[in-house]
Amino acid sequence: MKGSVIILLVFILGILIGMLKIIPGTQYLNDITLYILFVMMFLVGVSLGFDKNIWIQIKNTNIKILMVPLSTIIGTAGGILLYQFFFSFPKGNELYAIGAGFGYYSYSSGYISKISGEMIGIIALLANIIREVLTLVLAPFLVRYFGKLAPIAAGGATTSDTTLPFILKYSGNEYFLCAIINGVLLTLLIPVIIPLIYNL
Amino acid sequence: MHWVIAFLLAGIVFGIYLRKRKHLSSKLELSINITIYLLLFTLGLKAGSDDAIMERLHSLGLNALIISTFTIGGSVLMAWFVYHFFFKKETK
Repeated sequence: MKGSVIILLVFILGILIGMLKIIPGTQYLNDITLYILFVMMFLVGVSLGFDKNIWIQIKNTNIKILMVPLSTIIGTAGGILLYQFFFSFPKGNELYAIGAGFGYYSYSSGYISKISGEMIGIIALLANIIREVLTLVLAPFLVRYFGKLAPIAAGGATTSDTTLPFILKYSGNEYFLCAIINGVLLTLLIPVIIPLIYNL
Repeated sequence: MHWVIAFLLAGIVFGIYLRKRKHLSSKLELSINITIYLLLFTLGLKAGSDDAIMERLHSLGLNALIISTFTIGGSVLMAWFVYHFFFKKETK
């Protein structure tokens, strides 16, 4: 739990400093985040290469692994379905499109705002950023109470980049292939699923 | 995204090459933690300095939070089910 609190505090500190606008060059933040992500992924890779034991377990991986992205998709749709019992805004297909962002906020919010307008686009952006941040913050809690696959399903498309080191830290290095496949597959499926939802 | 995966793969190859140098392990963990916090800080900074996000956070933030709570909740329950019935036995 201590990890979660620190993660949340660092994120909130970032927001507050961002709001104060005391740091120049915020227009370069997209690039800077990407470079940090590159360094982080390289280091995560090194730690995986270092670890002999995980490769034995990864060899035993089978087709079962595809159940993870499948449960992310079904679980997300189920969550949206339940949401509709309590709330009537946003409406049906917009809501499913927001959910189908699976944390990939840049693509989903861009596409959704073009079709449903700026307000729904902003909700898509916020909901998917929050999905990413909540996964980071809750990872230790999710592993403890819902098993080692829980943060992978929660992270959706982000599990092949930003949330990967957290998943490895709390679920274990042997879940590396599972997280990568979940993230990559969902990232590839999002540009297919969201237009599909709008055409239904 | 393919760049992210390329860096990961390059890291794995480099890690295999470095395997004999066991003393690097703790330094590696520390540097991963530093980049994690750095990434989180910049993600916060990005959201905080984006006026469009911050202005709407009051009005639409709660909607978004509830939606993501439901989507995460559904996914986590499905993952718990799959983990419990299909994965748990093998990892023990």
